[in-house]
Amino acid sequence: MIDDKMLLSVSKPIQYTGGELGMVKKDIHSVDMRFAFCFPDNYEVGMSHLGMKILYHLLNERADTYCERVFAPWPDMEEKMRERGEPLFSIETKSPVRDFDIVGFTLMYEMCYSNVVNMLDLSGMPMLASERGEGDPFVCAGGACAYNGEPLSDFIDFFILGEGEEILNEVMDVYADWKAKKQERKTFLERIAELEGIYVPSFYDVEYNEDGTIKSFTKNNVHAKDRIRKRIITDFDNSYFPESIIVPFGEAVHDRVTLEIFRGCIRGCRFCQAGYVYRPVREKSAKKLVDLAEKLMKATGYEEISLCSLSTSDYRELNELTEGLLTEIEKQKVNLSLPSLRIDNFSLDLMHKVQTVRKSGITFAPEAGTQRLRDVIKKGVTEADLIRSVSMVFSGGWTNLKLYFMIGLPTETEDDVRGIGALAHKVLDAYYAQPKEERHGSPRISVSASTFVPKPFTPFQWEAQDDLDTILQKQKAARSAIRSRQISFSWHESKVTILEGAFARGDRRLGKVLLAAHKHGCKFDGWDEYFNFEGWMQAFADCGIDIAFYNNRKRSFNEILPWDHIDVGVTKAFLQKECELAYKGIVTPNCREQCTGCGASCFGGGVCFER
Amino acid sequence: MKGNYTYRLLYEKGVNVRYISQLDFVRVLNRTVRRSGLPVTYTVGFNPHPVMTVAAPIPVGTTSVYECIDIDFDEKQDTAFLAKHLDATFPEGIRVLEAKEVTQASVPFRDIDSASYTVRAEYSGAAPDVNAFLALGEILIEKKTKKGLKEIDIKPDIEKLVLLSAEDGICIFEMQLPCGNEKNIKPDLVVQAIEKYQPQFHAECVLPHRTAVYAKGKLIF
Repeated sequence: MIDDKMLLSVSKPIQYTGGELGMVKKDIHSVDMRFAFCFPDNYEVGMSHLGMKILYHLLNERADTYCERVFAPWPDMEEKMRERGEPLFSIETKSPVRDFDIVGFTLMYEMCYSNVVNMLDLSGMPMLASERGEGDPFVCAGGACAYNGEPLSDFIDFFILGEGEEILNEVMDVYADWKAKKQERKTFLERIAELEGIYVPSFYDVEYNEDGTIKSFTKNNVHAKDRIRKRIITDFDNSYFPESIIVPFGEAVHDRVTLEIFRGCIRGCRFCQAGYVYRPVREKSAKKLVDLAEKLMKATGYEEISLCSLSTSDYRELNELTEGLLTEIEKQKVNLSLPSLRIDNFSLDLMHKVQTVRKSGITFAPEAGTQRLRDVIKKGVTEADLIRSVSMVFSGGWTNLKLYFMIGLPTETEDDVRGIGALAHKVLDAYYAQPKEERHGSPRISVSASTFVPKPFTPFQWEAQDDLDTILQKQKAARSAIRSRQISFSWHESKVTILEGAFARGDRRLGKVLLAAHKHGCKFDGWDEYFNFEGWMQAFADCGIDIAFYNNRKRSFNEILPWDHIDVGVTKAFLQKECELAYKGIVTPNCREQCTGCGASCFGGGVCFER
Repeated sequence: MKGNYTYRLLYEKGVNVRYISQLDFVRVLNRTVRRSGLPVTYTVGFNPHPVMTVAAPIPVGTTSVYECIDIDFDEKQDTAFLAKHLDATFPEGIRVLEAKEVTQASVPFRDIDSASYTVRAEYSGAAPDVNAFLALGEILIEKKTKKGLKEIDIKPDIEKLVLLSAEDGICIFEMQLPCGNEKNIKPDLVVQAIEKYQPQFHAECVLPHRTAVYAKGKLIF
């Protein structure tokens, strides 16, 4: 058991103790099924995750199920646990994870895979799906990275594709019946493999060509589907959302009421995986959201509400929503935060009303330095748009701007990279273009450049990722184009993106690498202080796998991709067409301007059927 | 900003919330007061928050039956209702015991200078000899300060130290130590000092429990 002796000797013990406001309590003997919701990062990050909040309460609404939370213990705690032989435990009842019926991981990004493996190891159950037998829990995974979960397929019994609210209850129903009938382990997997949205990797065989590409991907079980289509909620307005959520005692990264205003994105920027895998766009009505906000504030006492979506300005009822919320926040004395707003008169007025943006400054994401490249990636923003927006922001009294760019985009040249600096200078010029007496303070422009990683289910899924040297050169070139001390330049650690790239588009052979990396102590890769690049490189070398095969190789359009058997609605043919248009610098309309026939209308809902 | 009425709450911090840090605890209080729906006074400005003053900060890991907070209200409150309502609104582990209105006669928190504790520790080797310890001319121990580790003499600071029991590897002390803005000595530091001067005594898992807080010799509630 986790006792005071352990808790007193670790940092932030509050992350292990539970008992927070809103935590669900049940008697473990009074339920038929126990679900361990595992978040492969620490408590602070996990408790910020919206999906976990929804699914935790959704599962706990069932009288027959108790869903408990599990987080990755911080390395100081892990050391104590290993010393004393304490297995990975749940927050609610401190039960060993291996005692649960279903152990579910949410995969929010690729750099959490080593934590998934480490958590399985810490739980004491067999790490590999093939080694788990009768009496062992089933291990499943969902979330953004599950759309290509192949690198984890050695460890995971089944993947859940798409939105958990839509499918989890069906899985639990099958489990309850399977358990009551005392059927074999394999039977459960066969039964859920017949559900739309469930992918059981062991029911498929992969053959490879001599050059390492995939030769064939075939099912080996009659219950398995040829292609697995993701599940989505079509009626998002009436979808489940808890009216009370857990309020952490300790700090969480995002510690507030989060209102998800819509799912999906109409924009379809060609580099953005979320913009394709979450299609089609489905909104919640302003009325529902205001009502929900009121209930959640009453239940939690949170002092801040934040809107959540991929692009706030595309919400059709933004006016009604903010009006409703402003009345409410006035009454309750809470703050409203409005991320990813496009700048126009309406949004500036709104920002003045809510005031919270003054703290952090205003962010713009031109993503690329030249118009040519912005057209390639379909970032529908022109230089004139940007200058108009920043001028409005400057005259509105803000002086602190952030500009986000990516380096390593397809077709990028040195001109494009230097264009990042040039554009930052034009933004600065816009400040000085104001009459002297109207300028506020002194301007600070922070330019931040991340490294582009090609992702599955995007028009750039076939692209080669730049190697480390090229990225470093490009970062240098972008930097050298900045000559003002009022512009700062920062970039992201590109070594992490090499691994992110490999696992994003990886196949099953990377399972070996994950195991080897685990042996070299890799974990918490998203945390600079724990990221162990040498360990990872050693792991690839141990397995004789060339990381460049995954990262730096341009795929042909006819290659069988490791995720081809997954159907997210958007078709491969559409992605190929978008890729070809990208090379020509042709921008296609967004979902509300004109349907481009991506395939997402197959779900029968959302923006595809708006009049 | 000051409300028309100030009320002082006496509350308990239980075992399951002992690891909440002071900073986190202030947030918990804040949210509890918001949830309560009571007419508390809010600060003005962009980040309005309830007007509250917490008495003596309590270290992580410490439980207590004697914590106090002053909360400002716009309207007069019935103290029995206030205590009952906030008690029901707090997360489990925090129990509101009593409430009363703060008047001219109330002890101001800024005068807090001392707190008493019972301290439970697991030990191995010999039981501690408190009398020998207290007979020392000086008790030098390194204390973490803002400027780093500093050796101080805590002998004059130990207002009270009694060994209540020591058996089966568990010892229980009673202590009264400086607490407040001027000077703060945590019970674990005293246990560390005993270990230093009595090397045959090894303590671990030191769990303090606060029993009272004083200002110039008077209980603060």
